[in-house]
Formats: sequence, structure tokens, C-alpha cells
Amino acid sequence: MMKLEDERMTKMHCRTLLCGFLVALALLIPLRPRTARAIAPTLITQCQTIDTPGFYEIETAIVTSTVGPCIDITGSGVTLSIEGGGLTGDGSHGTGIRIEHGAIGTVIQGWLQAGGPPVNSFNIGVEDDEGGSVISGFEASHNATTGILLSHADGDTIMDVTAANNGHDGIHIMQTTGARLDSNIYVDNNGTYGLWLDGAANTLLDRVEASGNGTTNLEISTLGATASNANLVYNANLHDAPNGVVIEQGSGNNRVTRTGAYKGAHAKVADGSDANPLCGSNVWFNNKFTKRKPTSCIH
Amino acid sequence: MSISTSRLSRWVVALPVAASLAFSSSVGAVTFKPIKKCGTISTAGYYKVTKTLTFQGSGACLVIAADNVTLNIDGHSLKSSGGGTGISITGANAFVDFNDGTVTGFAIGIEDDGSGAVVQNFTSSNNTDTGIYVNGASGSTFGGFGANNNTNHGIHLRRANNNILHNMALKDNGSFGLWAELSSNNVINNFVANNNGIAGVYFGCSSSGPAGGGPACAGANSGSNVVTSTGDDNNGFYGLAIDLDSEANVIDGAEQSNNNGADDSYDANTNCGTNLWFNETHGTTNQPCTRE
Repeated sequence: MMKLEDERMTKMHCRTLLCGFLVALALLIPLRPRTARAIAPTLITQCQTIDTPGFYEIETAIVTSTVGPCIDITGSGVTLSIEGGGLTGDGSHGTGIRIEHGAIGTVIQGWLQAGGPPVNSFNIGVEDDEGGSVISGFEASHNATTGILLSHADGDTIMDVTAANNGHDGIHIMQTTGARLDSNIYVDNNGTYGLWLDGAANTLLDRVEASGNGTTNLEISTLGATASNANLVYNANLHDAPNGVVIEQGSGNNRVTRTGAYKGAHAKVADGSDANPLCGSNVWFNNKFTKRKPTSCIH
Repeated sequence: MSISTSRLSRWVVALPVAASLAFSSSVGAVTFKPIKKCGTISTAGYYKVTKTLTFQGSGACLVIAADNVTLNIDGHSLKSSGGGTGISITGANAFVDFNDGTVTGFAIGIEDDGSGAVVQNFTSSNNTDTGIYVNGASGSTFGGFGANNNTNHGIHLRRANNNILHNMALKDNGSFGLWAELSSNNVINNFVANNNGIAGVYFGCSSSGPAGGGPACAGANSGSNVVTSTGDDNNGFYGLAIDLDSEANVIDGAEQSNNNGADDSYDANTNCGTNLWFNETHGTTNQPCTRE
């Protein structure tokens, strides 16, 4: 009902005219061959700071032993493609890519599916300290501590990433509000947690998959005085870890639904666990769990 | 256009959903209140549709007017004989899980005028205008859905910012699979937009698309959106089209098979302006600023 009738009539009239015009246009314009690139990216061949808006691309792999960030994004309006290369650290130091506080509107894009180019073997693979970024299309694995860290990175979007075999956690969302993770998120075989919501609020985890993580596939915890509240876990596939989803005491108003935890190769503690009495204000519904703690409020 | 207060008051009537309660199902400390007829949800809480809902008129079948509503459609259908809106979201932070439910036969299947909504797992089809109308909403997420066979558009974003649309099929709509109008900073990924009358995806302000009389809102258009992993084929004229003054959009991974009526990829801005096109596969384009 939002569309006005007169708008619709105008639209229909225009469409009739448009059809004739465009059909004629289509007939007149021959098929053109595939085109060469016109907007050339700035190529990155070594660790550097990016402080100017623009389009950047890592086309060949960069290997470094830096103890700081390798790619340090300090300017706003940066789009970084890592499709052609990747970053590899020394196994314990530095950060592969850091989006510094103040770098607004960053887009990091690798391949168009999980398992893309690596950001591997640093202390932290990718860290965002700003928020509002779109981070997708690569693998952040074998880092000493964390694959991807969002720290006060409100409103980030993460999609199409793999974070596996990191020392402590795959994706750590710390004191961040409104992050959204969707589409092809694989978080496997990390030392402690797969996904860690740590004083995070209003996070959407949509169709994430986590398996084989050391302690817990998805940990929802309180960081100091900051609880993890009002997060929504939807349709997560969590398996082969001692714990599937754990909500620690003090974190409330979280919803966990349509989530499954199965194939427990480990001596499983619980598929779903809530440390709050009677789950507090957390709501668990329409899940597929076999082991629940407590059973009275996890469904 | 927003629903005016006076207009809203005519159709956000009467029967609050609570009046249709018969039994409530408890989950832990919360209660899912059953919904058996169209109405307005005016209180935060948990609700569950328990049967097919049919609708006649020009209002909305379900109105989510309160903030923090969780609504499980539970696989049911919302049907109209040809008018109105299936679900109208005006509150903030709604979570609507259709669980394979459908919304059909309305003018607009789902309208989001709120913020922070999460709407999942549905099909919005055969509506007489638009499948999903995101009207001024921000921070909403729509995932795992189809918007097909709607008379005009599968999805229409208007003055809608910071939303995510993902894992979707937008097919056989009369004009656009997805139309972003005056909308920015949205992320649109993992989708197909095929067999739509004008274009699979269109960023611009003309309801007739590019060259349809020129952009109606030059200087204030759709910018800074990110589109990834899309296939846009067999559309009437364009696979993916960006009209004049829609700038700073990132198009990554659009695959088109040289079977759209005019151009697979189209950008009306000179040398694509500040739009970035990469990982592009297409047969035809209107200018050499897309790259493969």
C-alpha cells in the first residue's frame, strides 16, 4: 500500500516507452567483448600503511616477520582486495591486517567463498578497531591467538570466511555492538573457542558452522562488567567439540534458535549450556540438542 | 512513502493479537503466544503463528508495532486476495522466522519500516506490487528467502541503509529483482536475480530503470553498497545496472552469461565514477570500466 497508484500508472506508462526504446537500443548496439579493467587498483607488494581512500590489491603473497600490523589501514574509504595473494607471518607475532580506529567504511574482499587467500601465522590475523567494515572472502588460520578480532567494531559485517586452527579462538567479538556474521562462516579446530562473543551485544550469527574447537564452539561470555546481551544465534551448525553453545552467567536476553550440535567425538559436556539460573532472560528454542544444561529451559 | 499516522490508525485495528490467544506454549521462562488471526502485536514478547492466515483489505495482516518481538511463522502461509501487506514491521529489533512459511497475494509481502529486524527463511511471491519493501529501515537482515513472481519488484530498498540481504533468489519479477533507491551502505550477497522484466539488480531512482527517462534523483542516489557473489541472467534488459550518481558501490563477483536483453553490466556514470567492479564475468557492458 506504500506505492501510490499514480506512481504505478506512471511507471507502467514509462515502461511501455522504455521497452520500445531499449529493444531498439539492444538491436543497434552490437555485443561488445569483455572489457579490460579501467579502474586500476594500487598494488601492494609489501607491508604498508594505507592512509588514503582508494582501491588496493594484494596480488602476490606477502611473507613477513613484522611485530606490528602488516597492512595497517588508517584512512577511511579503503577497499582492499586480497584475492590474488595473502599474508603470512612468522607464526607468533604481529597482525596481518589491522583496521585502525577512525578508518571508516573499509571493505576487505578476498575470494567469493570461504577458504580464500590466507591471512595466516600472525598473532592475530585480522583486527578491526573501527566498525562498519565489510570483511569477507579469506582464510584466517594458524594464527597464534585469534583469526579475526573485532574490538569495539560496531556494525561490522563478516561473511565467507574460514577461521581455523588458531591458537585460542577463531573469531573473537569483543565489546562490539551489532556485528553480523552470515553466509559461509567456518570456524574449526581452534584451541579454545570457535566463536567468542565477549562483552558483545546485538550480534547476529546467521548460519555459522563451528566444529572441533578445543573447549567450546560458541562461547557467549561477560567481559568484566560488560555482559554479552541480546545476541541472536540462528541456524548454527556446531559439532565435534566438548561444548556446543555456552552462555556464561550474567549474559542475558540472548536467543538461540534452530541450532544443532551433533557428532560429538569428544566426551561432550553439553550441546547447550546456560549458567544463569533457569537461563535467566536467555531464550533457547527450536534447537536440536541432545545434551542440555539445564534441561528445563534449553529447548 | 511512509505510512501516515492517520492511515495507520485506520488499519492497525482492532484486535490485538493477545485477544486471539487460546493457549500459550512455554519455553523456559518465556511464553510463545499463539496467533490465529491477523492483528497487531503491540507488546514485546514471543509469538507463534499456528495456522494459515488469510487477509482481505488494504491494511496489513500482521503488524509488528512493538520493539523486541520474536515471531515464529512456523511454516504457515499468509495469504491475501490481492491487497494490503503481509507483515508490516514498524518496531525495532523484530525477529521473524518463517521456517519455510510463505506470504503471497498481497500488494506488498513484507514491509520493514523499523530498524534492526531479522527476517529469515521464507518465500514472498505473487504479490501485486513488491515482495519485500525495506522502507527507511536500517540495520535489518533478510536471509534465506525467495522473492519471486511479484508484479513489480522482488525487493525494493528505499531510503534504507546498513541492511544485509543474503542467500536469496529473486526471479520472475515484473521490473527489478532488487531495486535500491536512495539507499546506502547495504550488503547484498550470495544471490541470483534472473528473469526479471527490466533488471536483476538496479541502483537508481527511475522505476523504469536506466534510460527510462533519466535518473529521477541525480545527485542523491544509492552509494557505498557492497554486492558480492551474484548471478543475474535472462533479465529483460540488464543484469546489474547502476544509474547516474549512484557512487562508491563495490560490485565483486557478478556473473552474467551474456543473455540479458541489453547489457549484462551497466554503469551510467562516466568511467563508472567511483564504483568498483571486479571479479566480473559478463558478455556485454556499456563502458570499459568493469574488470574481470
